[in-house]
Amino acid sequence: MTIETRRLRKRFGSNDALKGIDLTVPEGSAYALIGTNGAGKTTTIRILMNMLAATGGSAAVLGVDSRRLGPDEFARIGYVADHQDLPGDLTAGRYIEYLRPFYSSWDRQLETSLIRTLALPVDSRIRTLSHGTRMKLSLVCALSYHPRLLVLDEPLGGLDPLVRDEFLEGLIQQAGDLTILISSHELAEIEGLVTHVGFLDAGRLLVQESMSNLSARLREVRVTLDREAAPPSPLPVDWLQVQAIGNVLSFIDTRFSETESHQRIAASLAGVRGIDARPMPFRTIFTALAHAARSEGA
Amino acid sequence: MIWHIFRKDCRVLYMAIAGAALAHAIAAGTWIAVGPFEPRSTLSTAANMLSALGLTLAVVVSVMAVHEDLLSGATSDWAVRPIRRRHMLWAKIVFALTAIHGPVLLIDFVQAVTFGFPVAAAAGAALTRGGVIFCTLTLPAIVFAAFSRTLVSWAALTFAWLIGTILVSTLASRLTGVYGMWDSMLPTVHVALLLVACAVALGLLYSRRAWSAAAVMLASQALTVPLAAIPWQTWLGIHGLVSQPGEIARALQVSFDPGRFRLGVDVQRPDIGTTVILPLQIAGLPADHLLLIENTTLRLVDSGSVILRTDNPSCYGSGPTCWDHSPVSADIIGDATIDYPIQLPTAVYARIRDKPIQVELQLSLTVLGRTSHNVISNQKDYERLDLGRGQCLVARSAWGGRDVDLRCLRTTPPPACRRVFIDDAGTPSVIVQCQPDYRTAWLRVFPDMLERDPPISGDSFPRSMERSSTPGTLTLETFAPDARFARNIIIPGIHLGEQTQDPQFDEADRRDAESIQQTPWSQAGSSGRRDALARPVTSL
Repeated sequence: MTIETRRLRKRFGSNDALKGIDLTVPEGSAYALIGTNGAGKTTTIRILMNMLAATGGSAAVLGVDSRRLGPDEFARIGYVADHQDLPGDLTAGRYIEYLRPFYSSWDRQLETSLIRTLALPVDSRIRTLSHGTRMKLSLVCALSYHPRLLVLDEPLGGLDPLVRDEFLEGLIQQAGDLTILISSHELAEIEGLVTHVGFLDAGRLLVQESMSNLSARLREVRVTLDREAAPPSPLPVDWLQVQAIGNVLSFIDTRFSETESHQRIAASLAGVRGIDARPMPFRTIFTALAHAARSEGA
Repeated sequence: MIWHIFRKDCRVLYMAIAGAALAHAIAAGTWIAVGPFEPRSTLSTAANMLSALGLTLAVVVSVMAVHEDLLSGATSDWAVRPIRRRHMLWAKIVFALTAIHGPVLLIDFVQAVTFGFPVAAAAGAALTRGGVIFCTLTLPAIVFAAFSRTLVSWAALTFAWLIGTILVSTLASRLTGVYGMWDSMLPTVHVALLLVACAVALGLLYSRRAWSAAAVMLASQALTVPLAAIPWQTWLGIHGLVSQPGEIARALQVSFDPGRFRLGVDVQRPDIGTTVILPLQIAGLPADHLLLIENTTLRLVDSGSVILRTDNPSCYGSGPTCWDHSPVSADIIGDATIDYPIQLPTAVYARIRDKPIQVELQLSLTVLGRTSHNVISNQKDYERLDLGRGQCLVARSAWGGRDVDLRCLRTTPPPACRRVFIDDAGTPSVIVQCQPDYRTAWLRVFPDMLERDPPISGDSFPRSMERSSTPGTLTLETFAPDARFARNIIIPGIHLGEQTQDPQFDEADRRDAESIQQTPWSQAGSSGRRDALARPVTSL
């Protein structure tokens, strides 16, 4: 595993930001850490990057305890985050030039290629750059040395669509064998990129699995009945967002299976005339999980 | 990578570096324009202000360099780069030492050379000044910069720490009840602790980001508070372990002189109390030596029980609450008698006046030997003197009549005491000065640096010894400590009520004493008699 946490906890005063999460990011995966605001995504990433100390539990990155991450490990990790402090008085070019000697694997050709792809103005002072351009600079400075792990904390926040596309293009070009951990609200944009997903809610990791599994087991189901539709009682635990309109009952099945789901539905509902189960977009999956988490919390 | 980070900081902050260096250069240029002897003028005021501005800018630029690579918070880009934290710390220290202190060092050196000091002395003075500024100003500023993220938060943090330090030191002085001990005995301890605290705090911050532990290290300055309560006897005892007082100390005699035992004039002043003058005879002080009585502890014992105990740390020339601590100068007045005043509340005096009382007096003494002797002619504007420990440029302005203006610019530590004679037509007039913070403690910081001693003007000389308008010779002597030791004097069975009133201790003398202003150096004119100044009873 490239990243592995065990019962990771973080407490800020009386607030439990992380309540013992077990995060596993397989090597070569693109792992999306998703969750609502304040769920603990940035806190998790900052602990992984040794920028914050955990209150309890453990975190290992590239096989090293995150508290012991040093120059050897950081030479293999790229990190891009919203609101990262960069030296504002240097030009973008000077900053890239400053970083080069720290990385033995720095690739000047790749650097040039990324600068061109992202249309980075290297002669402008960093403090004069827009937020999007600063993020692009961060990406150049995170990819030019072929890192094994790329950690992106809300990299697309506040970027306009054009810059967002440029950013993702630069990222996808270099993805290759790279392991990526990305936290983002821009689910539609990263949908084609991610292979794994972890859903954090109020400091708890509620879901963690591969995108293929998640897409396969979560389906938006519409059941047409020969009578007025009504939710069964008791409601099956794996049905979310159950709605009855006329003779149609719709819900999200969180344990969908081509072979078993029809039988289970028929067993729960009388007068089934037809079942339509459709795959869900990433954004809908996220909102369904978030709604379910909030309902449970309530 | 230290050099690589350093170059980046220089590239980013070159304007600020140039600004700080320019302020120093202008300040130095102004000092050179003022001349070595700092006449009071608008220009010298401007030079002082520019010097302060230069130092402030130097500190601020050092802080800016630390803030270029923020340590606090979790948003620093460098924290996720393959940069060793110790390299970052050293880069900041190297930046402060070279980019900030380098120009200051050069400018200080040029200034001292311009004033006529030899290259070695000028370099030593500049290096020492730079070292002191770095240790006491820049390094603590770097520590607070590591804690903060902006100049404003840095300033607020520094201000809060300063206020805390002042409160703690004031509290220490109040609690221990020995005013002055905190300020006078521990400058080196303060500086040493500050250095250690800063070094450890920076190590903790950069290697482990242990914020709490680093803050505790800074707060550990408060550990010096208990040190302030250590009595002078203990300090002197420790001093005795590392330095034997020698032959001079053994030969010196301090004894009670019953023939001059008397009452002060304020016997009828209930608000002040009754002053009993305890005369002490000093014998065996060699010629060319001074004797300082620095601290005293007095106990009055009646039938085995202590009825009064008072500690009196030395306090030079600070008014009527202090005893006269002018040095005893044997070769001027021979074997000396000094008057030790015991001030008693009127009721206490009435209660014990007819009883036999045992007086127990503990004194801490320092004998100072002469280190240099220079006779200055009245022909030149200024001249270079060898003061035994380095050189001194001495100037006189308008030497004639009473307008003596003796100034000294040094690159070496100041002497503990200095003595100036003016001899006009065989009538000697003398001023003896000792540093105000000269104390029992052997731990003192007086590094070599370009310093101006406070001037001695003609007005400083005793009125009774005013010189004629005929110029005479002027002699300047300096003194350094030879021996420090304690003496105990026990006077059994004396009756305080049997003494007569001191005709010399009159109101005019009191007013005269009260008019003494606190000056950087204490002054005492040797007019053959020492004024006994009333001092309060600190415990009863």
